[in-house]
Amino acid sequence: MTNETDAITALKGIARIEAAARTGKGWYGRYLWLFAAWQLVLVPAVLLWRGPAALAVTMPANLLAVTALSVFAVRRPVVPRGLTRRHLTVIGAWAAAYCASLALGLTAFTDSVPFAAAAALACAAPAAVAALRESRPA
Amino acid sequence: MTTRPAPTAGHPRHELEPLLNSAVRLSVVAALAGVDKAEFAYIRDLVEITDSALSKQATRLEEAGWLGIEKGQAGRRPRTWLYLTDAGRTAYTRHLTALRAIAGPLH
Repeated sequence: MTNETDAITALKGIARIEAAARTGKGWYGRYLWLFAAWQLVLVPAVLLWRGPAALAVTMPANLLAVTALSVFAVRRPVVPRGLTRRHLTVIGAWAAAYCASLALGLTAFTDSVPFAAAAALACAAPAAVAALRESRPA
Repeated sequence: MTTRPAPTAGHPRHELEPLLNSAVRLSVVAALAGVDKAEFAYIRDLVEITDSALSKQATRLEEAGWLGIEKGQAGRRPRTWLYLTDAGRTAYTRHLTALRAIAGPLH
């Protein structure tokens, strides 16, 4: 391959393959949106709904959601570039927000609906921000 | 790892990687360039080739030290993953840069 036409043809082929490969990486953005949406349900339920019935519902539901998301992730045929580092960052930020929300929501802001709403948004934020970044073109 | 003659200064074609002059191999590498790893079947479908053709090209790239093959299991299902090594990524980037230089400033 030595001439301009060959090079342009090769570059077009590369662009087509790279564009097609990008669609295979899109699953992580969907995963993050599902995770963020789940926080909007889980956090208010944990903070505002008390008693044995609440525990009996929220804990298995959370376990089910985490398992479903994990199975979804494990079955994907493509592992996006830098996924481990990005995912650990998201989970680390979420864990910090979730622990702070529970600590404050179960002590200083007991049964506070505005706090539960703010905590839900704070817990959803790491995944939502990462999902928005995922949707940006490379 | 493949060895190639030292490039002579001048035309960017000297920077092209001979192993990537095959359209299929170039497609396989391009498909893997943006990901950490991908399943064999996914790359096969993306590049639109048969299992045996991909297997042959993957072996060539593996012999050159550009591609890694990892076998695993998801439940009962065996899975084969393909990934580019650092040497493979470097070679692909160099090849791409040379192609762009040959194609001219508009590409």
